[in-house]
Amino acid sequence: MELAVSKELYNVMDALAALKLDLECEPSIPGDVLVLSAAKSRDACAALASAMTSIKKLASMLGGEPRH
Amino acid sequence: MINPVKPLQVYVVEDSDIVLRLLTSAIESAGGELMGAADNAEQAILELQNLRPNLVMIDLVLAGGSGFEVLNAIQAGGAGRGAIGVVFTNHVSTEDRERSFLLGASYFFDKSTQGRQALELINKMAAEQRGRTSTRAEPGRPSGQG
Repeated sequence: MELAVSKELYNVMDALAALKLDLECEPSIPGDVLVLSAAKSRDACAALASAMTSIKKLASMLGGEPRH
Repeated sequence: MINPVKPLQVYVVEDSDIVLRLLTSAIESAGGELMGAADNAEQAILELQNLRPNLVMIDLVLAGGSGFEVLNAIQAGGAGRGAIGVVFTNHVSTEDRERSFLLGASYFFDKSTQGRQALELINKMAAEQRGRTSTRAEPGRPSGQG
């Protein structure tokens, strides 16, 4: 159980790390170049979807009931 | 005789599709070439026995085995001979870092906080590789300069 939780947590971190790079969050990057291409927008959405899927799995593993 | 410019050749050991896609995009944008990729240590070591990439990007925790096994194989000369090992991971304990360097890693980047630096390294190495191969292609120019 703990191994599975740890694996999912790292999946979330991987997705968020990729999202951070896709969005070019670094403060050193000038604002006028912060225009996302279609490919990067799609990659960013895929990263978010992956993080959400992993968080749902984590909630399930930890015994949380889904809230509506 | 003109030698073609050889791009930076990179092999990626990574079990996250999203991170693999990000690295692939960064490698191609830098003018490099993705030679191959594996999500587990066994496949990576097997494939690297027949490949000579300039750079191997390695995650430490994989779908099967660990990045340490890949580093070990590169260091022992049985895989990806001569490649520069770059660890790119979220497992960033002091122990992981020290073990990576002991096993021959040249760089160690935290995915969460040093992603930009890892991509900059790919850019820098791709530019250096272009410089190296184009210098070699120029007849009569002394090597190792420029």
